[in-house]
Amino acid sequence: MIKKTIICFLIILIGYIVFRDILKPDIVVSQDQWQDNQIKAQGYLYSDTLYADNIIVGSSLSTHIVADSLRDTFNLAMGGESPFQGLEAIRRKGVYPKRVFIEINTLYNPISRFNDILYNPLLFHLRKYSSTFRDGKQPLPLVENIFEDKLAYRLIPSRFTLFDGKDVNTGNISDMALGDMLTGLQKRYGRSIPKEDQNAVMARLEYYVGILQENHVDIVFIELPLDKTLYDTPFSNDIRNSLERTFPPKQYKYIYTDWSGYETTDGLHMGKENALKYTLFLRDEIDRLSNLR
Amino acid sequence: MLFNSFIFIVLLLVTFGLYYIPKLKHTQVLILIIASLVFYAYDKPAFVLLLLFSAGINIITSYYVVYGRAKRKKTVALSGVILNLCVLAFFKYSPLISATFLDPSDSFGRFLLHIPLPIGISFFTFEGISLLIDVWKEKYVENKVMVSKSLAKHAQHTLFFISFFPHLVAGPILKAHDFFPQIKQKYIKDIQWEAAFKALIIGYFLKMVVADNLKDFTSWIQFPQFDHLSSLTLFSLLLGYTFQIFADFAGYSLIAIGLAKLFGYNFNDNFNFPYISTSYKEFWKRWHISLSSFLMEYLYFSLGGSKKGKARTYINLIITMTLGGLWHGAAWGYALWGFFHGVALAGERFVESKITSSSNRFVLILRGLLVFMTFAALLLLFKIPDIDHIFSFFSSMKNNISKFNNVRLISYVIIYSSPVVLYHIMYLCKDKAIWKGVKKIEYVFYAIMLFFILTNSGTPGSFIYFQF
Repeated sequence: MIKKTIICFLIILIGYIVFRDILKPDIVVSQDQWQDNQIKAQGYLYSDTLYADNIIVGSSLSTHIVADSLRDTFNLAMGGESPFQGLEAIRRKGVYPKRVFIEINTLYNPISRFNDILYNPLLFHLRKYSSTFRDGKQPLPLVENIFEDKLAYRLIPSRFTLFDGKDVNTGNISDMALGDMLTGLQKRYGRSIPKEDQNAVMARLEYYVGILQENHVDIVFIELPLDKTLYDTPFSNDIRNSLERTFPPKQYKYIYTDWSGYETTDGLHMGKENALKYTLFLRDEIDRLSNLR
Repeated sequence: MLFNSFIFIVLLLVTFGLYYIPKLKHTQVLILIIASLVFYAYDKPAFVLLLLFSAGINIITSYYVVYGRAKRKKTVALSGVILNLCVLAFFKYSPLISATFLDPSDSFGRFLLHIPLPIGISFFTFEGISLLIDVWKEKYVENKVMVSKSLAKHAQHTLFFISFFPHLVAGPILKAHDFFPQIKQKYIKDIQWEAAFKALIIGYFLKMVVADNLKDFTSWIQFPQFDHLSSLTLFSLLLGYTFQIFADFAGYSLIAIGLAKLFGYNFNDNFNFPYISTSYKEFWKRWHISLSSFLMEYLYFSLGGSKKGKARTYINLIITMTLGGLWHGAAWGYALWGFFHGVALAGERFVESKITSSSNRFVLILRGLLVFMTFAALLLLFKIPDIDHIFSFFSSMKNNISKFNNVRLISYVIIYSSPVVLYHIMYLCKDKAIWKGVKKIEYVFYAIMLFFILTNSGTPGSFIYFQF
């Protein structure tokens, strides 16, 4: 029985590899934000052609930056993560851009298992040689895609929203819930960051900045606007102070903005309009920094 | 260390390789103990000391109960049980005690609040208690079989019993009388390869493909994210969570069973298709069997079981289930979960004493749905820590009928839940003629599961029961 199972498994696997790698190589289906991140990171890591002069690393805050409106920019920010995932991807790829924009708001986000999974020794090499093992190529999301298109709307009553499950700022959350979220954020931002955590995160960032500098990469720290009540708080001030202590503004570039000029939908994330406004501001700042050279 | 991590596969292969080397045959138990301690120490090395301490308590007390002075045996056995419970209470329930009864600004209260929770403590503590009660009562196996005259050998066997890595951090909870008689030299030719293979494939499939994918969707069951979802979407997510928790826990148990078989040890089944149950009593004979049988044998019967009249039986059921709930976690929500299950069991018993139960198929289906939906609804006490938010969830489910359904979420929940549904349906069909046909091509199903494990695993998450 074990032998029959293994032979049958190999037949199914080879058939699927042929189907995915050769017959339908361009179909990529993501089922959630985590997979979106993995697809983005894997697409970046395994591509021989993807290169941009500028790379943005950060969290879902930075995913709203409209990279198409910036010159030669690739947005490697990943929802739910921190800049460190993007920085590690740049390091692993070994092909360095001219400039890296590091979002500072989420430097102190907890470390997830994202990199453990992305760089799993077995899967990392399998993915390199066969795109079938990459995220976005799984069989069941493909089945879901077909099911959703062909059948789901007949079986499940009423239309669906364009809410895509990746982003809570759809505007559909009730005011009461939004109020609760902001209160929670204000509580969190009302607390200082412990010194040991500051030291650990700064040490980690120094490691990556060191590697980027060795490879002649220009580093720009960017602070995205959040709800204005979170601006002058112990948590936000600790982020800025710990960063400026480790990377003095005289030696490193910072792009700060006036938070009161922006609206967020949930205390953290900008909506489309404000994201575009910020992108244009960023573009102007990048031009200014380029002229300073 | 997760069972689906690269480092675990390396540990397993090395351990398996060493275990069956003929020259090392007399050190098999020692090899497994070392592997188990490495497994446990991987995340938090300091907790190995606690594991050794817990084993030490049980080694000394159980040895004394068998070979010590007759007059003191009962006291020693009782002391051992109390010590085990004290260790559990200190590490697991200190934060709850502090939060409930003490002043948070008080230094002692703050100290208790920050006591770390060692993984698996609920499991290995209960196993220690099982050993002590088994040797004290000598109900199943003669003591001299379970407890070697050589203290060193007994120490080795007890440490092995408690720390054996397949079941160490999330069960099944082994009973001493089931495990100790199995401790002997094992041979590679005696491995039940097919049974181990099947258990591992189904286990990894349930965990990596079903549970790990479903968790990314059921994460929407948190406040305030669920606030804007439609009633149908919320209902689907609730069902999804019910299937997820089964897949996670049953998957882990099957992996543990399969791994143990590779080393020549047999664990009892921990889940027996619980979602086909048509009564609460039946449900608890099918769900987390090792815990419910432990609670029945060592707690419910000790309280008097059903032998002290109806009212006392209902009280005993409620107490047993409430404490069983609290075993799951140091929060009153868990106790409430257990309490409600106790009330359901007691209520069912009361109704059955008044009304003859019907074997009509339609009635059985309705009963089955009632049992399933009660379990599903009460699972929110596991998922949402704040009880106010649980009420918000039900309120959203009631009020959001006119909101648009999230078809994508619902579709994914259907797809990833369907294997659990199929798994139960296949069990129901096992006596039908169709089953013979299915059995002939079962290797195809295992091949498909293996294919999905390799190509469609979700993002690895800790086993839900690690937190218990």
